[in-house]
Amino acid sequence: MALLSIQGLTKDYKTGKVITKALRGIDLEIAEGEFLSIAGPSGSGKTTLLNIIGCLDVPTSGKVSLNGTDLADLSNKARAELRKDSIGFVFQSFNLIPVLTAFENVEIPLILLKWSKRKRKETVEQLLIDVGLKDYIYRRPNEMSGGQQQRVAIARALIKEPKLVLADEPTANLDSTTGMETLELMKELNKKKDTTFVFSTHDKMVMDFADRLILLKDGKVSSDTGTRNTPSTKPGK
Amino acid sequence: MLFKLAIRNVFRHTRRTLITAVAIGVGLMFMIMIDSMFGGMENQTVRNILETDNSELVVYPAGVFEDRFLFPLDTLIEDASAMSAELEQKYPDVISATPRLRFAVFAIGPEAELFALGMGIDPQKDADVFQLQNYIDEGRFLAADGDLVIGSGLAKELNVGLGDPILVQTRSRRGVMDVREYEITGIVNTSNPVINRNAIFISLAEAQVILEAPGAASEINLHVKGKPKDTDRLNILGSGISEDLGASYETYTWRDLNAGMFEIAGQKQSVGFFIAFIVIVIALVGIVNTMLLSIYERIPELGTMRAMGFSKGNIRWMMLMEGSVIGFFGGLFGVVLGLVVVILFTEVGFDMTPLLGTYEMPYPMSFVMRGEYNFGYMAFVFFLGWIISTVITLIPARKATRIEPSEALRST
Repeated sequence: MALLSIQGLTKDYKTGKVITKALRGIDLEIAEGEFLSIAGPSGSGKTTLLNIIGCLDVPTSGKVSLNGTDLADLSNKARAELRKDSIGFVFQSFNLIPVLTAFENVEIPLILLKWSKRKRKETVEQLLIDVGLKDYIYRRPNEMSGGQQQRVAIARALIKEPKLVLADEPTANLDSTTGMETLELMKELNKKKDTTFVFSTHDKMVMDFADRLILLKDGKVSSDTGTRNTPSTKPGK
Repeated sequence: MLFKLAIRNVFRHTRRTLITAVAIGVGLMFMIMIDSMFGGMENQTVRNILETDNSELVVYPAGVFEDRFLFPLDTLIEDASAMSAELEQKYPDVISATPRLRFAVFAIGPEAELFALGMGIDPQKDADVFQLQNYIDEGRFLAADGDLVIGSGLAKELNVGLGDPILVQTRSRRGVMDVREYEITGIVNTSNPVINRNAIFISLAEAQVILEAPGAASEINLHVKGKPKDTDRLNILGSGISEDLGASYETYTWRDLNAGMFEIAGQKQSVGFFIAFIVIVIALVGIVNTMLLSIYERIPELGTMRAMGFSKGNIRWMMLMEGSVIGFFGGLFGVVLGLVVVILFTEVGFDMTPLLGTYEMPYPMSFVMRGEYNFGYMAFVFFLGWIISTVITLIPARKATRIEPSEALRST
């Protein structure tokens, strides 16, 4: 069974009397453990699609099922619960909480899941070491580089071992080397933990890196490569 | 975790937080200051009344209470000394009793003449109830018949001093005009301006002769055990005495005798508290504004938190805690600032003489205003500031919980 199933998904935004059709009927199935990129030009509906998949927004019509649960049937509270339990987010601007250290930022999802303090400490420290931030565990975001902050954000998304991680242009604010390092880290975690990664991008390098590439144009899927073999190391090496 | 986040968020903009906390603190400080000021005024007024004018309980002949300021001589307590002695003996709660005979006087000095309040007092017994003897500025307290003690303000108005002659004109009980010359043997300067500016004291025996009222007095002042402000207890004792004395006499507490004055003071106090309330409202608008600013700055952050699974309730609690932290520090600051002001007010006092000049205070209190310590009220004000600051944050918190995560993340 697919982890994520999307059928006839549309989303309209109304600004005054103007209706903007962000998604115009998307049909998609994403299997568990996929490393998938949704690409397309600005305004093609990438972020809208990720928001709906991530229970941050509701569709105008169509059906979205995550692990068999129809998202349309969920209340606001239930959607928040689903996000808390099953979905991790990585954002273009990292979106770390500036007043918290790397450790505390990563710890938040576990606090929400009511893990014990001792278990939280062990797990968070280990994951931050795994993502290469051993020396930055107790630093605040403003004491870290963009790449380091994005690593913290990835650790925060993965700490609760969610079924699905959604990343909205995760490399857009990073230089190409750091961006590639971030992608490799995501790929490594995808393989190690079998976590499904869905990320949006309009960066060619990122598109090439994904196992599966879905192209969106004017709110519709214009092409889907299906699962393909991709390089597991940096291109050019 | 929410508390840790709230604390750190509050101090993310230390200056803004401090300004808001200071605004709340200043509002609360005003409340404490006004309470201390009015409390101090009331205490001083009560003390001044009790030390010089009326005792805790006063026995009057029936029917004269309403007209007591007209000093009616037709209805007096006859054989007042005997009644005083009886009351002292009969009631264990009565520490001492003294008769006073009040009468209208036209005081004539060498250069000026003024209407004044004449008071015949028993120098020995009076000293057991009142404190006039402790306020003699010049000369001596009444020692013999023929002595006259004058209030310092009245002496000044009449331009007379110690040893100067003064004519006292009055009308006796039978309506006979009497004018006598006295030598001023004492000048009294109490903390009660009403006494200072109006009173002339002579011995009770002398007054009884002038007024042709042998053995009589206008009132009997009873100094009783316990706190003067415990008017419930005074009322019970007073009712008992009135009942025992029969229908010819009535007993009033010091508060009954000065009810009008305390009513005006109460109204002024309400105005004072209203001003303090306005100041606090302004401070609370400040906290709402600060919190709203903080929310608008953190929209993407709040969106991220919602995306991570923070519920609306979590966000609301975090905001309430932030308001609560600001309110706590505002409350603390207000109490500390208020305490400093109250200490200054109480220990040093506020001399109003330069402000009032020769203005005649309608209350028996001195021109140096002093506060009082009211730690219970300070604690109340602290908790009030803290709780209201927390509750008022519900308004911006509502705004924060209404932020849709997808909208919030779009503004990243």
